[in-house]
Amino acid sequence: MRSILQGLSLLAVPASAFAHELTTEYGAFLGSALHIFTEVDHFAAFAVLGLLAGQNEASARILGAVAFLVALVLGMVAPLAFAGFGAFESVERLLGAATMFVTGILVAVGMQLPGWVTALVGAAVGMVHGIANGLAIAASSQSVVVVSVLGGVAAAVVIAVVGLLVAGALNGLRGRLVVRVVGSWVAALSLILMGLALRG
Amino acid sequence: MNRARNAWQHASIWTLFALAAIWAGPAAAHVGHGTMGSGNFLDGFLHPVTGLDHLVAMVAVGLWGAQLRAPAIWLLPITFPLVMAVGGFLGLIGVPLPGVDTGVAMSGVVLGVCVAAAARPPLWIPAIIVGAFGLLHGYAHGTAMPMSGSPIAFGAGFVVATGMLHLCGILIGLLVRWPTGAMIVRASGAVIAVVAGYSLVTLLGNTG
Repeated sequence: MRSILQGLSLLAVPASAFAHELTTEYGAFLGSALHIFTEVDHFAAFAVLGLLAGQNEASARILGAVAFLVALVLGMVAPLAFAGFGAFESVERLLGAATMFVTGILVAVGMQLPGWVTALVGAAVGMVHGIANGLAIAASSQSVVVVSVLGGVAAAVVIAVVGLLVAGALNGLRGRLVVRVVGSWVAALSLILMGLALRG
Repeated sequence: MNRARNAWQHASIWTLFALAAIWAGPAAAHVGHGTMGSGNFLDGFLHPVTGLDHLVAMVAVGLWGAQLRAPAIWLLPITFPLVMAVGGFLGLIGVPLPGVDTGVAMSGVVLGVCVAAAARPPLWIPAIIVGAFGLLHGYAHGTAMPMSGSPIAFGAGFVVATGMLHLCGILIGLLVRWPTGAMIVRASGAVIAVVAGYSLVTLLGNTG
């Protein structure tokens, strides 16, 4: 109980700044990584994807991870390599919230999923957040875009892996419930994000 | 072996809280330094905690869930934030919903009476009651959400606070395992009903 209360008290501690844009202050790699860590929607999306992977069997986990990684890299590179992604910015928040909602609901339900479902979810989350980050990198004045992409991918992978390890470790009855409750909270937050996106 | 496993699970719970803290930390920035409506994580967190109607209803949901036992004890805390967020979504996009304030005030009375009576109806009845009230509470949060500061952080704050209040209710509700504890829980329900009733009467008096 003491450890739970101590843990909860952390929630009230204000920490780093809430970056809406990719900062160039800390260099290409760290700037891009910090963008992922400090944007609530990116962070929550990757963490809950990790929880989903941790809830499922190894085969579904691997398929989801591969699809996520490939889609994330492709999504990040696409706006940097090709023009015409400007229109995505108008639906970026809505799509990000929608993928987060689906992932959160799947975690809250807590079912064992077939590999194609985890792959589909991983690909959707990776692609949407990848394009969003690619656009942020393109809009920044970073000159070393490859390093920026690496920073963003590294941060996303770290967050997802931590989520996976947490869900994998909390495999007792109560632990699984904690993970499912967190999934429902993330899904709830994504609905609020959708409302904010539609409200403009 | 068991000790190592427990230590690993303990570390995992800590990691989960650390993740939440990292996530909450950025959310708490754009700080309005505690002024209600400035739109940071703490403001969102305090909205259900400092609003008496929200506070007593959320705790009552946890108490009732504990009385109803499995699967309600874990089903309600998982589904309530979702239904509440649907209400928040409707409030944000401006869908009109009449009688929200009265419904929110009434929720504490109804839920408090259910806890005081230790009502154990079929699961679909609490699901509908809690779901309907959750929608109204979420709508109230959604319309109160400031557009300045960080509304995302505000939203995260009230979702987390709602979950924490449920947890408080569930933890108190675990007393139902003992006869005296069950009486304490029922008495808590009665207190909630009275407090919410007072709030409802005050509200109706002001609007009437």
